[in-house]
Amino acid sequence: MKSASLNFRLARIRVSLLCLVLGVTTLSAQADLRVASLHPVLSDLARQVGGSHVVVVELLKPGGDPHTFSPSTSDLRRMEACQLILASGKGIEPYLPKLKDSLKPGQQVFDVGRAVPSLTISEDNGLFVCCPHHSVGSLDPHWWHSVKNMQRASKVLSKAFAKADPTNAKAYAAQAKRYESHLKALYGWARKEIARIPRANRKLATAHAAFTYFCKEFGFQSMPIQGLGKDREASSQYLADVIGDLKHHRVAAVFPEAQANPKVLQEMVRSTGARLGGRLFADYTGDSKRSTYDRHVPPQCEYDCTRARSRSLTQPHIDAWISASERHRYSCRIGLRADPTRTHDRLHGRRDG
Amino acid sequence: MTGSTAEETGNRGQSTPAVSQVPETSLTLSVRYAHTPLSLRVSHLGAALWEASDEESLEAGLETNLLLPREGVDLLVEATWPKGTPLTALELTMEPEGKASQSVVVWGEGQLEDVVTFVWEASGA
Repeated sequence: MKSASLNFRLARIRVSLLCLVLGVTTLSAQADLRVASLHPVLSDLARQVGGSHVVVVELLKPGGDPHTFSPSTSDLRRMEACQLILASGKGIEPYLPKLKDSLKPGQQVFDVGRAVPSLTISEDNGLFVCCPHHSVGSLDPHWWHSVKNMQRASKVLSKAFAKADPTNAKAYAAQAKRYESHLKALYGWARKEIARIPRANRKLATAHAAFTYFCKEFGFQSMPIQGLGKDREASSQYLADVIGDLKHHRVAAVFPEAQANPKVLQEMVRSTGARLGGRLFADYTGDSKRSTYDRHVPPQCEYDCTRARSRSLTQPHIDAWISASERHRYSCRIGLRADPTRTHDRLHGRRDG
Repeated sequence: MTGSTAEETGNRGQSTPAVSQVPETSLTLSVRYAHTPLSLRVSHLGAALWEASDEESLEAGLETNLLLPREGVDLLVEATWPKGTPLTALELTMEPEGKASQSVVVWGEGQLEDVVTFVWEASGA
């Protein structure tokens, strides 16, 4: 009899423990925040700030193109259980108004890019082999190429997470602070490395106008030689003009972009004698292996920040690093200042005339 | 102060010629400390412009020549302070001949490693 009573009590204890475990699990599941991300860099940021409290549903996966992406029906289904939908903003997601219309109560789009100041593409911050009039006044949506902007985004994201999930507010603030310190170290390191390149030589020749934020932060001038769109088809006349300009300005290196057809740039490089630099992740979606803000770095670019071995820098930083290391060979000495007016007149005089 | 000028250290960061061809400008570079540092190093394009150690005065300066393209110049400032020195400031002032002087304040606790940028408009302001 005693044995039966003991068994009963043990069974009750087991049931109570099970209930306790289940209860804790349920509470934890309730505390977890589910967010959907419309850009891999936001997915990474959400993981850094959210840690184990946040489940990130990646809608735009590494390797995708944010300029052409639009959520599919299955994406919308995956998004259903998410409270926050993280957007880059600044016009890179033209489908946002439609997406907002399809949201259920309790869901909201959080525009991370809204927190950072916008930069427009202008003659002041770029050297246009083509002409600034093709793109002047356009908003550059690639705000994440500025480390300072990422620090700011980390702050606002922790606040948004805290608002949506107050239980873990302290954890979000602490994780954001830790990530911001990491970014601060990255920024300091990049500035120090880039300081070895004369400011007058800091020209970043790329395919499309995606590096305004990086260039402003580190004192570069961008040369988007294919203008706004990385896949823009260039006419043979345009190509000839650009090659002429690259030669005229003694351009030493041109940096192609990942996920874009490098043919046009290769042709320019072949004809001018300039060197083809490393691939840039302009739209920052990387690939499946290197999909975070931190990991866009070749192994040789390891650096020691805050005395912890770290491998953190963005692709433009890599190029700056490459330039700093090899500036005597191909560097960022991309050429003398282009004269946009002259180039524009020449190009358009020929075209329009 | 046991500082050394750019002439003494043998270079002024001229190893990499700037794209903008401008003549060198004579200038005064001065520094003010809230606490005297153990060491100070100011470099331009990877080359030492000013190295000092065991500073006794809260102010110091040197005359040198530098290329000042209109894009500006970046100087890397590195300093260390004795253990126990609180968060402290260092003011770096550049006074080029014919141009307005410019000052930048940087902060460090125990040590400092920062890049300061000086840019002058074409007007010289």
